[in-house]
Amino acid sequence: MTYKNLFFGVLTLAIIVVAGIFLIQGGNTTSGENPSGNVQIAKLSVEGGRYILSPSEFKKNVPVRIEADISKMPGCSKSIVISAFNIRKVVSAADNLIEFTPTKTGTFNIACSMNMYRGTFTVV
Amino acid sequence: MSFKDFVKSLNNDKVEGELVKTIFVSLATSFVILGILYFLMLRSVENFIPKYGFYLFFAVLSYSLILLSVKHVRAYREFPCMSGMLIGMTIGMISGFLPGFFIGATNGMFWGSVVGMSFGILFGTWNGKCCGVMGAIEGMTAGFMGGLMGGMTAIMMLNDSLRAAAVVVFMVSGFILLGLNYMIYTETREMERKHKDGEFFTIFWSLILTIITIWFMVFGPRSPLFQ
Repeated sequence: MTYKNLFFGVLTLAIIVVAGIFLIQGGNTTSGENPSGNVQIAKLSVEGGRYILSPSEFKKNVPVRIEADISKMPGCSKSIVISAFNIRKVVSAADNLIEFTPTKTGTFNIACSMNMYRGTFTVV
Repeated sequence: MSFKDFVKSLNNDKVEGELVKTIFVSLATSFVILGILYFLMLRSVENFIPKYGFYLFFAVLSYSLILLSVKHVRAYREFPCMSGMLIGMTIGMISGFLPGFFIGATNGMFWGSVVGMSFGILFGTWNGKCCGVMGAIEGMTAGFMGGLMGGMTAIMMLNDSLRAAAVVVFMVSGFILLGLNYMIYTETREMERKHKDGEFFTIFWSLILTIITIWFMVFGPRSPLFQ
């Protein structure tokens, strides 16, 4: 019995290692790209439980730099997610910039990580 | 009956001796079906491995540990009230929390919680009833709470170290389930085995849980945050 269970134990470990190598790859969380050339700059703040982007319309394929006004962003609103462009970032006084390049057109959501604060912006 | 005896018992020809084989059968089943589905359809899904591979891997590992405990409980079937309540609570909580966490990480809090609660309540009630209605209700309550907490924790970790948290959560849950198996071992030394589940039981449940998880993660509904 000892050898039988040892055999299954070794096989189990082998399965875990092989599957792990195949399935576990680098994370896909990013916090934006570095813009170069023209940059579209927008201010971000919170009013009445909603994110306000000013301006809230951007051009496609032109880098965007969002400057968060920390003084107007309470609690978890500092934890910002723009899932359409794979942006997840916690802004702070030391780092209040979110940079990315919108590569598709449409209206997109911006939300806090708990989806309590929400807002939208448009890419044309 | 120390923990050392329990580890030694994993080599005997009784219930405990079958536990390692159960993990193996569960993992083999889940990864084979995952492999088949990958080559048939999932490889055409954009960024399938980077987006879902990590969470699917740990979900499959979790199911093997949960089924191991379920099989251990079912082998003896009847427990004293306190033990049954602990069994219902532990299995309900963990089988709710882990799927809730992994699906919450890919589909959002609502769907993670719904799937987590469903799995947790199902397994918690099923295993908690080994001591009657108290254990069943304990399992149901724990499954409900675990599922909600799993989905919620994943979303709260989204902007923090979500993947590291997944590893920590899985390891802690694994240790707790190992502790549960040890408790069942110490409680059942004077008892005769009452039921024997074949490998079909493990294969069936591994298939069901893995397929539901894959479907939800890849094709299932999503919260607005993940659209």
